[in-house]
Amino acid sequence: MKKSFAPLFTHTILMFAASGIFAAAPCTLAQNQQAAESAKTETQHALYGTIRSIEGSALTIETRDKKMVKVNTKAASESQRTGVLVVGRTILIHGSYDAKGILQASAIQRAKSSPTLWPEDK
Amino acid sequence: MSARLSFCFSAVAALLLFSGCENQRIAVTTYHYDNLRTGWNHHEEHLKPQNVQSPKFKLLHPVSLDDQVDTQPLVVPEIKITAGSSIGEHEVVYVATEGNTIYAIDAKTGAVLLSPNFGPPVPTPLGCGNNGPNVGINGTPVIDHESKTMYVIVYTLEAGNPAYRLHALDLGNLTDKIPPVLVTASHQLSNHTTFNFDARYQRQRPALLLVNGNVYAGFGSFCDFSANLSRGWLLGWKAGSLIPLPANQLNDTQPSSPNNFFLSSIWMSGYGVAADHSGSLFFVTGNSDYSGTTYDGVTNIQESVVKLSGDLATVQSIFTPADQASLENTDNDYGSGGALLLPEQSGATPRLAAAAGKEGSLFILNRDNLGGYTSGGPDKVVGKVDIGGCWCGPSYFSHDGPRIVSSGGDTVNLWKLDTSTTPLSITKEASSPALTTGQDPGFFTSVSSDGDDHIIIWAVSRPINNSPANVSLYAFDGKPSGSNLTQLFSGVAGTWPNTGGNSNIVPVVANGKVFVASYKQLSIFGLQ
Repeated sequence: MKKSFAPLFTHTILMFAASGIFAAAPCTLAQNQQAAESAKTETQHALYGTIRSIEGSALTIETRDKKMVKVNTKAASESQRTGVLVVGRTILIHGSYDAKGILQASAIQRAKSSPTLWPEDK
Repeated sequence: MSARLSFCFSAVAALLLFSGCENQRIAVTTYHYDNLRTGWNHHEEHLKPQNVQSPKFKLLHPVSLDDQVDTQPLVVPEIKITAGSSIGEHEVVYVATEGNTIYAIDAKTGAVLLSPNFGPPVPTPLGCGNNGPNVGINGTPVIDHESKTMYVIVYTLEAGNPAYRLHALDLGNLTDKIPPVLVTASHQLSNHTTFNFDARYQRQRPALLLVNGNVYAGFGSFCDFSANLSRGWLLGWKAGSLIPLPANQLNDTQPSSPNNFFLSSIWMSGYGVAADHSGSLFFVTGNSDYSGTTYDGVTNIQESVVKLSGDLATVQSIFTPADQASLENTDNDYGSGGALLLPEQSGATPRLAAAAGKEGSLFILNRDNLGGYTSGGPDKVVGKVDIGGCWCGPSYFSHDGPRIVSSGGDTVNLWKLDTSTTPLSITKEASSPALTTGQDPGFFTSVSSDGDDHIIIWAVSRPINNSPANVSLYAFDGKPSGSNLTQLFSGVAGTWPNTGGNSNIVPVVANGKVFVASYKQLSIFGLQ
């Protein structure tokens, strides 16, 4: 069959880790590994929310109690533990908070859209 | 050939009829009753609108099970149970759980006849929470009634590593007729390197298919995790020997992608890979690289309905919606739903298919030429209607012409097809009241009737909250009252506490009973 390629990108869609090119403050590989290791040893959290903004690997999500939480997706992306992220979509994030209060995500998955179906955050 | 007569032929292999002096009993040996996946049992003599809406219709037997059930129950009358403490002839409902237990249950009494376990399930594969959390038997088995054999794929830990094994079980004692085979496969990528099937990254979600003397199974991913290592496969084995077919289907054969993200999975929310009378296979694929740039319909066939030869060697036709790149960008899989094949119709386009996905467009397709891909549109399809977001699959019945039952969003819609016109027309005939249903949009249906009479559309909702995470059985009169489908019944049919993963429960109607399998329970409804 004849090859036919679709448009490269749509402006309404922001992708989470497109080679890090949108990252506001690119990290070195060593920093990434450090963050990942840190996430492993610290308290693991499970947080549900709605994506409000995406800038490279930096997400802002709104939790069920309307708090805004910053999330770094880099470790989840590098370990292939995430799917496509879209503003307005509801997600479940597993990870741990760093010293700056940023949730370092180790895994991200789609969540059901209704918060009534979300288990308690951990 | 009339549509009805054609349906009868189509159903021979799966919706088997046992004729007695006073009544006839059917066997449900595959997902959605037949290989077309119509979901229509048209030999139901007991359940009628007037008695289903009466207090006589109720939950008769709640049967406890060991784990969540993501498979559809199968029903076979006149089975001679040859092991355990209930040796003798029974009408048996078979239920396979995520705990890797297969239950043989007396359909009339709810008594557990057999319950062998086939090994420890895989707990939360890859950390994906879109499960029970165990993943064991995830795809509905299929039964060869003639040889009294159940084919089932078990996901289990072998020496600590996830592995799939295909079993051929004796229906009388649920033991292996021949040694189960380890699922393996390899396929050449477009750069002539070899890609190997790896059970750690593949989910066997679609119902199994038995046709052409072969057993077929589709594979996808867990939560789109490890999308660099997981790809959509369709594999096949000779039914008698479990020897793999020489060829297999790998939907994405590209060696690289912009985001190292492949997939093109076959999952269909558990719907079965379908087959037509010529033995061609039909399925729907999900998303691939989210750049939206990797589709070519040859080396990557994502977001598409695919028609494949029975030997798995040749893609015979595809349909890909014009907005496939957008579907990729937004993870709006077309392949969240299954493809229904309609029995042969009169008119200019006798062989039709219908499939919808997350976006909610139900496409009516010509199976002889699915329509290909038209960049920029319009799609070359027979018809297209909006049914609401669909993690679901359609059903079919015929009454004064063909009808498609859709279950997108929170509503059952009945669509009337007029195949005598060119182009074919499809109109919404009636809708149900909104179901109390949650999780992702859509749910699953089936249809029962006694020939053209007593048509009932059955549905099972998804939970709307965590406590109680109930799922409910609904029944609607299949003969509309004006533009409405009259609700005959609704009642709690079980629970689904793992609300992070959709319940995709298919209500099974056979011989006066309705079987609903959920979390650790089989509910048997009927007339008291």
